[in-house]
Amino acid sequence: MISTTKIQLSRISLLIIIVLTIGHPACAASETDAESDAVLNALVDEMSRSFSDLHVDEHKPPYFVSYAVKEVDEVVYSSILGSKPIMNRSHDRIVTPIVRVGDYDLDSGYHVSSHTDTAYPLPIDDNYDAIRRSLWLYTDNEYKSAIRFLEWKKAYLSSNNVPDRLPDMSHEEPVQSLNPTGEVKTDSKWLETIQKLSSLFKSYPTLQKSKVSFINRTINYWYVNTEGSRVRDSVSRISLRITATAQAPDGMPIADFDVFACTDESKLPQFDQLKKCTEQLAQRVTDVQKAPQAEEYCGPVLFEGQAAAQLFSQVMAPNFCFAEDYIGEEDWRNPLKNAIGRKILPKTMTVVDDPQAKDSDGNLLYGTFKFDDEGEPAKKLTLVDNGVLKGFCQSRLPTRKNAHSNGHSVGGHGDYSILKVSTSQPASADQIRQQITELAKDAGLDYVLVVSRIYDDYQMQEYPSGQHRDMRPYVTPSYSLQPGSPGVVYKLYPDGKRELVRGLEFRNISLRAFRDIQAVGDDPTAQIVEPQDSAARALIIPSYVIGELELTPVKPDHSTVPIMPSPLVQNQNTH
Amino acid sequence: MRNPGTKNDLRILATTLAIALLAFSLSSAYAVTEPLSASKNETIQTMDQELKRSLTKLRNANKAPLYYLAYRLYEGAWEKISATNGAVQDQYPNNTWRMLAVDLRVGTPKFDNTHFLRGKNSSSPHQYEKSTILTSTLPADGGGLPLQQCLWLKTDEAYKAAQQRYSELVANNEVMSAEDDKSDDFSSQPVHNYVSPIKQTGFDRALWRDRVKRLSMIFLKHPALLQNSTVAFVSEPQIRYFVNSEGSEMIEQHVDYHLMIVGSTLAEDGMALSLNDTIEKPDPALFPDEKELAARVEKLATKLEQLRKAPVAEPYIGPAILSGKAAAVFFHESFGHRVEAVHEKSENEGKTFAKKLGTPVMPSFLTVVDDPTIEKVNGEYLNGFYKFDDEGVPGQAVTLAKNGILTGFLLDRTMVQGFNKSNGHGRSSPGWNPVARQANLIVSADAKKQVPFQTLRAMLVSDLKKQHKAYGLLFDEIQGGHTYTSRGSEQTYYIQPLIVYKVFADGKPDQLIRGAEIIGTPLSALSHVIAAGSDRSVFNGVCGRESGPVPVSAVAPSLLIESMETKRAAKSFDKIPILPPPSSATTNGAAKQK
Repeated sequence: MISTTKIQLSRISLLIIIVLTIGHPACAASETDAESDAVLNALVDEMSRSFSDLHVDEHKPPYFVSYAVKEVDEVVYSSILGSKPIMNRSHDRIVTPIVRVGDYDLDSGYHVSSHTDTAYPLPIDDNYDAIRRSLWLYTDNEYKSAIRFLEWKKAYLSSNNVPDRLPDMSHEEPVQSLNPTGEVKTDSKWLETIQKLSSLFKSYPTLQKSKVSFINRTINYWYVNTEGSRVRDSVSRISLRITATAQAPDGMPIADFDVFACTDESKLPQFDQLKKCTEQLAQRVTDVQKAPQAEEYCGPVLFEGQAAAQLFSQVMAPNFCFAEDYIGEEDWRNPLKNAIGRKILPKTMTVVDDPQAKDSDGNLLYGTFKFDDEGEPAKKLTLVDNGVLKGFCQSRLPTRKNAHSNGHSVGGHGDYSILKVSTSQPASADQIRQQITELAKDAGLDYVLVVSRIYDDYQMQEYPSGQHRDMRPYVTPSYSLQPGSPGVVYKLYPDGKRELVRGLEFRNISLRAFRDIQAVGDDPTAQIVEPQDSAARALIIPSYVIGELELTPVKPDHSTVPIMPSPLVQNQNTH
Repeated sequence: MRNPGTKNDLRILATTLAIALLAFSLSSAYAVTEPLSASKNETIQTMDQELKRSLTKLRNANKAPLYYLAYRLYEGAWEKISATNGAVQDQYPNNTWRMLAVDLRVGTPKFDNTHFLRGKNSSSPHQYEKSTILTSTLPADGGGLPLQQCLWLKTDEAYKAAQQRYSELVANNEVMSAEDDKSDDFSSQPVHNYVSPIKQTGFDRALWRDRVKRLSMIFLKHPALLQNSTVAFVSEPQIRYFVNSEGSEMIEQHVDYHLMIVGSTLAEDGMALSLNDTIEKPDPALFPDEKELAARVEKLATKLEQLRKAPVAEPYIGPAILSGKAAAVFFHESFGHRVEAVHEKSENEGKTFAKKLGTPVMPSFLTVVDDPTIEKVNGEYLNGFYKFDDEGVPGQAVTLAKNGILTGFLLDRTMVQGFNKSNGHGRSSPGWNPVARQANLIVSADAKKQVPFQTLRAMLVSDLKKQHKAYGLLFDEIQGGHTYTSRGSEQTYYIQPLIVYKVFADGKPDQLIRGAEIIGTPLSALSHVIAAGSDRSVFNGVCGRESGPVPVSAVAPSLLIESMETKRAAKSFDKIPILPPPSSATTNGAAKQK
């Protein structure tokens, strides 16, 4: 017996439109109302039963129960040097049950930075009985852990000095918002597109590895809690990712990437635009491969485009999160935790976190959400106002200056969403060049460095792998760290000439460097960032100049170039 | 990377599935073709082209000459539908994967880069590329330039690593004592050109989806089964493309469909219990009808309920009967792993049998053969069936013990003292370096020594009386086992039984018990076999060791063992759920939302 889809695939026929419905043909979610939503009904019924009946010996029933269900329906296409595109498909559902005993002030919540809530598999079928049965077992498990943890916490507090302890969970108004769920639908034209794009790399024989991938993912959420919240929503995440690598003559590895990501498949760039970007990427890697090795540098650095976003997301942005206190982990702290009201950026700069941010055409940006993992409405926040820190991205874990959630919970901790960095004094490209030239002259330098791309492996994996979708590594605050190495760096000379160089890495960069921003451009762009393997999201930022940074040549511990010439060279010669 | 030869696992499929999923999470709808000769296949052509180019350019490119190169390309499609409590739990349809391995040898067949590196206590590293990694540039389909580019880079990487390792090995030999076994690192092989029949693969998704849903519902009729139980249908067709510098070219397909039934519960004392039943067939049409499948689920669920109430086993030493399946696993662990030549050559290994050739190692009425060429026994398909091994050598029947005397070893292309030719047992998971492994291990007893099972039982009871024991043990169903073979370890084997009965000397009815685990050391255990049944059972499973999990079978009659030792199984500390299961009568959460 041969299934029909398999035949289509083996003979394909790239032009067939494949509407991807597996499992349950009629999820028919768009028309699902509360009455007929088996998932929602099962969640509510089992939650209510647990809330009223679940108790053991002298331990009280939970004071709070919530379930957050995440359903990921996904298709991935990929092609290498024009190879026949391969389609991979997965569909699963997980639930994160939260069962808290105690009360809002002191409960069983395990609030340490390293902890993520446990997620369990749920059936993908909309089967009320089967879903409830699984919930029953998971809830039982969580309730037992909660009892043990609350007792541990009480014992810890009675034998350790924890001054000014904050409450464990904020009081919030229940949220009721039931939006339709969705399923992955993708146009098979993308199979053809990625095959065409990937075959462009055949004309660049210096490149070693290259690949084009397309990921279309629909995520459906359900959230219910015993306070009365009932939330259902759906979001699409679509990305097209192009990668290329090479080795310099001395063997140094060169890699670069391009990522296009949006929330609506039809909003990806047109083919011609994608083709142009692919060719530019191939050329960029080819050029960097040939570029001379740079020498040590200390002086002003201009960050533009992707590099501006990367540096900000890697060094500064993690400190807008995790401003909470952790019982049993007091020595771990966010360096900005007590800095509200203090200047952390030049006074011309403002940073807003907006989960509903849109691009200039009015499309929601990649990384958008309406409700966070705790069912709270995602709020727009001003994190930095004219250089002064105003607040943090928060979950229902209170922080010193703010007792309430602002809808930024990822697995129970605050995480940033779509950041928009702006300036009240935008400088033109000419002005920036003039200013940076003066800074260089001041420092006695012949040139300044311009970084336009910083390495990031762009896995575009919202979760590390299909089977471990509950593992969510977090961005972690830190005063200083070494960001990814610059992928594309130029020497900019006073006469405006740019010379491409390669082989530099940053020394540690601290938060202080951002107070040393000397100029901000008038050229904000939306870039995709994926901090520390966390979920990818858009970040809008103009270019900027940091007054002084140190860069050093990378250590030459890499293999030599391949002994044999590339098959691509032979291929070109034979044609 | 695994430490060579430390631990060997045999588990039935259900328990290794999770690992398999991680190893190759995705998979292929390969074109259904039947080429007349391997060299007409596009993939083989590309592999051959790059192999020849590499040989020409790399042969003398560095200090140690390149003398052997092989490419193995594994291509598969992986599909799974699992159901719990009547609902589809998850579904991964038709996901394609490829895994490329580069076997590259520099130096001479006498001494090459794959030699065991004593200074670092390590075996040769695996050189592979896996298409399912997002950054991998191994194309998951077809040949031509994309595949050639990947082969080029991987070969260069393997070549440089081989040169580096070879230099270390040479230096090692100069500063360390001589090795026991001076046999060569590699043996030659004639050219083979083989294409197995390539079957169309696929199954009726809707039919199996509905079927596993219905089958999983059967567990709900057993309210004492307090955990989620699962029924899953998995399809794993796989093709291996092989070319080497000796001129061999091969394409071999293996198609495997399995239905896995896994029941789980908790005993009142918190012991987690699980039973499983896996049915494996090369074609979906060969599965029993749903009525029979339902009966198997029902049987397993009923057994699990009984097991839940069974008393906990006490540590025991004394006579025992191993059912055919249990005996098969017993031989796989205690004997089979010790005749895999690698464990008799490596300086790091216990070498239980290295110097025992021609001497008795088990009772004289037993003979043991490993034969990968047997496809079926008692109408059951054997998991360890293949035509060619992962080194391109035809699989061959090997008599390992004849009338109790050790007569042979399982050999790959690495030579072992006294043997200079592979017997087609060089096996690996896709991408790993092949080593000598078991395939279909077949234990048989002399016809005149075979007794009906009831006689075997009677012999057990009489033995009990002789030894003044109140009861003996009957091991019926087995989960799997593992053993340690390295020199630094204790050489023991472990077997995890699922179903164990106490057989009483005074004729009381047998009593089901739970939580017993068999332990022992191989030389002693093998010498304690005193009788064999006239039956023959097949254990199909997956065996894990330094070359990765490979499908294996073991076939054996029931055996009476004079003395067998058991220990308590590890136990969890969970309490049973506080609330009863939700009743399906409580419906309509919508009403409660108000």
